[in-house]
Amino acid sequence: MKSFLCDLILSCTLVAQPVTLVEDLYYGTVLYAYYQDDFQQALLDTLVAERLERRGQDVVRFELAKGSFAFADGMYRYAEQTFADLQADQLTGLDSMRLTFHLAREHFRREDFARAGNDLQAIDLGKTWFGRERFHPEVEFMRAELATQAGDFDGARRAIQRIDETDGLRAYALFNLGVGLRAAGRLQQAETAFQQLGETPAYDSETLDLQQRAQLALAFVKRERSEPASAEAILGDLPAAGRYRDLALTSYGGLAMDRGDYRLAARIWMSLQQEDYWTESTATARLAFPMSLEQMASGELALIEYRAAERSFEGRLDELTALSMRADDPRWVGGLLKVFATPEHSSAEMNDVVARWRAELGHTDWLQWLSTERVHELLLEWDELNGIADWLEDLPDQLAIFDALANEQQRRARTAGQQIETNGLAENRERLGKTIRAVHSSLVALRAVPPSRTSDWMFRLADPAQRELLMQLQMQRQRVHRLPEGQRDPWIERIDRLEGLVFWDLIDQSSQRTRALEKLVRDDTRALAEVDARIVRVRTAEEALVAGVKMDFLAFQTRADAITRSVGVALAQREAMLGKELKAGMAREIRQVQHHLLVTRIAIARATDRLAMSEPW
Amino acid sequence: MPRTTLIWIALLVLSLTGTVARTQTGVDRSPTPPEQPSVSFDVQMEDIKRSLVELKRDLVVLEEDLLFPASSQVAVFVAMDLGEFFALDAVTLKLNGKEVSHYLYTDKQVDALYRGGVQRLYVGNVRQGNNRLTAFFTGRGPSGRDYRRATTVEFEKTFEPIFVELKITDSTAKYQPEFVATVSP
Repeated sequence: MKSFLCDLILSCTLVAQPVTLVEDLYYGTVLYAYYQDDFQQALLDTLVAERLERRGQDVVRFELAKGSFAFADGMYRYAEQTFADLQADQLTGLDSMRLTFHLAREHFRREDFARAGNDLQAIDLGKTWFGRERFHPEVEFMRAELATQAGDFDGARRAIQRIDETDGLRAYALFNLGVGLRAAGRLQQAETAFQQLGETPAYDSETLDLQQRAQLALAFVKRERSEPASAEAILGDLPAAGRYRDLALTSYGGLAMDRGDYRLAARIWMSLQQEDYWTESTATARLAFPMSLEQMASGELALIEYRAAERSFEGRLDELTALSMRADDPRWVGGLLKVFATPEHSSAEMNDVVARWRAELGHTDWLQWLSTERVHELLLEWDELNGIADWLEDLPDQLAIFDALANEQQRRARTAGQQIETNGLAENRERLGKTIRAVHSSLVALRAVPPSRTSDWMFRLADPAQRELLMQLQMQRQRVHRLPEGQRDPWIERIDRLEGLVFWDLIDQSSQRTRALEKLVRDDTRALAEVDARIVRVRTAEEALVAGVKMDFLAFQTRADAITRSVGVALAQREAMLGKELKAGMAREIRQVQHHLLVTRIAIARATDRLAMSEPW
Repeated sequence: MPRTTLIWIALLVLSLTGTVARTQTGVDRSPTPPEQPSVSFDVQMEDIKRSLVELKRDLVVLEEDLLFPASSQVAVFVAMDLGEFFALDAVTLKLNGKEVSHYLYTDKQVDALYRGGVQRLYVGNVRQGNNRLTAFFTGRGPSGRDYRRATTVEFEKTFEPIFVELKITDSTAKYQPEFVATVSP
């Protein structure tokens, strides 16, 4: 399972190892962020691993990952450069295929479909252990999209079948296939594609939304195929409170009008026009309601409703004209955009901001003015830039903390360095060194001299108990010499015998004792070396801190300031562009409302004439 | 970030304009629409993001140098191999008898571990010499029962950083999860 999941995009460590290498742990951490769709963090982790030189021997997998994360985070040039820097001879067969996959994504993104197609052809994931072909959902998605684009709908269908049902990409590919088929006039096949999408299990909100759109599209196709009853049934199945409710109702009303069921149409338009917000659907309903009444031969009522519609269109036009003038003020636009800067998790805060704007604008329909893909992208960038600006704003505080920490560490390093001298640590270390050196020279001498029954030799090897005994024997020997000459011999013999016992004990134990002493000297020498290393580290710690850290703070702030300036410029540019888009949105709605108003006035004239003609003279 | 709102807007317009064919080459993942003249905006955005991520990288390295110098640094990683017999809920870490971390996992994080990701659970400082790390894993074991197990590792801290890996594996022979702590070289 794991191998299937991480085959193409990234390489995973699949071979079980008793101990994981540090570079594999670091590679795992970048995957951990990536699998949570946190591409920025994944990229950051990859760069940190690179800077800390924790990528091990297999640098290529980190480079491929870096390019992939940069791509996923919208840094396309960085990704392209990373991939271009890879040397072909460094790549294994699988690495080459991964690289091809990344390039295919890049070419697909740029709509360079010819090159994307060539890349995709080169990707072959081989077969599983069970002999089944292996597929990657994104590869198959791109294949399906390219095939749809080229009108090869069978090819697209085959690619879609290879995408797992639970994968959201399958829903997108199916939807686009349906759209392509419809555009090519293959309505029957388009229906099948939309129906298939409707039957796909939805595991996320995006797929669920796409299914509703597919239902709507299916209703359009049915209408095109002159099957209004089926279209109505499909529209009736759409959720009443869904995102596409208004559009579905408009379509439903249109179908009823097509079939001449003006009573049903009037009911639909009435319910839509009663909404207190303005959308294209509600505006259409305001006009279509009296039109239905007119068709139902309710001329007088139709005229009343036409006049009501006229008033509402005039009112809306006044509102839009006033708002359009206010939209020239960048502060007003900036305030409006604050809605998008409210943290998503803070729903209460969000509601407050929306309520404030509802009070200001009298409705929330301004969201529609921003309903274009271009604005969507601008808003995403604007929001991201705001996040960056916030982060940069907090950075000086963070740097100040680091600065204080570095200063404290510097102070401690200085104090520790001084303590080495003032507490006599250096002096004690010298004394210990001398002792070790003395023991070492004694050992060398001991090994050089053959065993002899001399005090010098025996004392060097004796343990404390034996040393004590030898001392006592020496003292007794001195005492014996004070005795009258005739009494000395038995005592001397006895002392010699006892000393001999110690000597032979030492002979027995000499090799073992010598080895133990050698080990002791070795251990003490190593310990002394560690003490020396610590002393050196403590003495140089302050300099290391100053060199490694202190300078960095200045550089950091300089770099952060440069980014802050760029962010400020970018934000201003996007706000100006969003202001323009907002005004353009208003202008679009003004044109629509003007058009509706014109049609309404013509209808009023017509209805008035008709009423006048029907009156008895 | 009100991303949901933004997506809502994008989808709303696509639906309201009624021209579903506009989305032919992908909806939310579609290539850049041809009408937008924002190449310079893209480049500008990318330059900012690149400068930012490089700044963040250097900051992370600096932070590690300052807060967790190699001579005292210990880092603990969590990994999972298969993980069929254990659904991870939380991990508690005790270092030399003192609790230093308690981490609750979301489904997404567990999934990331299951797919081969490795979590850097804890970074801290320890004294040089012998240290003892104990990890307590809480979750649901085979048959969905509550499950709590611990694993301990002892390590000697030197002047080099220490990396401890806590790995959850499946013992197919015992039909039980296994928890292993190892010190990486």
